[in-house]
Amino acid sequence: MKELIDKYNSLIKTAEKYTSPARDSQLQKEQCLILESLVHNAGLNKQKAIEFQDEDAANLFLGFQCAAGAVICEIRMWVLLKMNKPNEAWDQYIAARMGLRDACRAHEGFKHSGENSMRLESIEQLIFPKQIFVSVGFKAKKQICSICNLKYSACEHLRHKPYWGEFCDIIHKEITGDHLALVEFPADKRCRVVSVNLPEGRQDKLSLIVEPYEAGHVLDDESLLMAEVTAWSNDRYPYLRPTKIVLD
Amino acid sequence: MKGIEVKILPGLLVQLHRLGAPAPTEISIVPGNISSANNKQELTQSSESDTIRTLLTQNLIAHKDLFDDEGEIEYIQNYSDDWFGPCILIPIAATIQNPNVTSIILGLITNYIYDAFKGSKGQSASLSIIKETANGEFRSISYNGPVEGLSELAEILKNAE
Repeated sequence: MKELIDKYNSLIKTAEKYTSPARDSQLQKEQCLILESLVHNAGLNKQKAIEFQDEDAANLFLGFQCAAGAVICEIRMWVLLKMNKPNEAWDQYIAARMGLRDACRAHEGFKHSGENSMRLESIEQLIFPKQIFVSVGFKAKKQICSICNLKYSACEHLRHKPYWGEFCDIIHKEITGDHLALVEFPADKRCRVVSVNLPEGRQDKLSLIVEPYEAGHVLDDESLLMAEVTAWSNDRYPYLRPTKIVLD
Repeated sequence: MKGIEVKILPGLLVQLHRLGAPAPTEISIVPGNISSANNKQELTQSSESDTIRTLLTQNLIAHKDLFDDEGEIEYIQNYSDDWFGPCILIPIAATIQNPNVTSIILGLITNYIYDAFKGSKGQSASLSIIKETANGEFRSISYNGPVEGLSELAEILKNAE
């Protein structure tokens, strides 16, 4: 076990050297693929730990999946910025933060991920313009536990805690929208104002590129007050998305 | 920013009766709008109500839902990184049985939120407690602020009695 942990740590440490815009993009992509193998391998070892009835080890391997996923996303963020894709880079930045937060929650051994998350936050302030975040409020008739699929009120699992290599979450059923609010701390920073309407076209909030309106678009005072918002993202584990899909 | 609001709820027992709930004898996680809802259909509970129910059960703190169909009351989920806690009703019988019960519950909730927010910073928590005093008066305290401030609530409630 110790050998395996040392190997995983060494791979992650090596990949962390590539979390810089100065590194070659091709080498960065190669590191992403190496870490994806780690994520896959940790998943297999998680299954073995479950077979051996070792919950602590299962949660440890979950932690490695999250931590490696976070580094993959940070590397992809830099690659995408170099590709002139700030919106996609932003999503990877958020995915990296989610991976680090999950690593912290998964196992005691990843407590230091909190410091990494703070480091990433200072990178956010340095390289990304200030964003306007939104948060959706909704009503749900039922709450189901993601671990046991029973009513969340009737089971023994607690939201955000890891159980046998899996996080407990609430699955809301029979949902109706309640409100949309501007917030400072959204649950998901992918939920933000993406573009605003200007007289000359739609302006992307990150790149500031203005895309002219389609022919025949009627622009009145009301539409000038409108903005495009990403209000919801279903992908709970964006840091586990394959690099091939994210970068190609 | 921290906000604490303490209120006296003079008509709570009447309101509970109107909503078809019995007078509370045990700790209960109640809908956040229990003192203002016009009817049972209007009642809503925080999504985290069930989390706190489980937390109390796991820590052997006796609690009982006021409504038979508490699970049918709609849940409110604010999709935010802040923690929106439920409303906890603590009757005098529970305090007599264990004078420290409010502090114990607040400690459990604080520890849970610390765990849930690991790797994040700056989030706030909100929570309401309705506590029955020795003279049968119901006082509510609503908190919205940093997680570490939750532990102060027990003392504030005690001083308000």
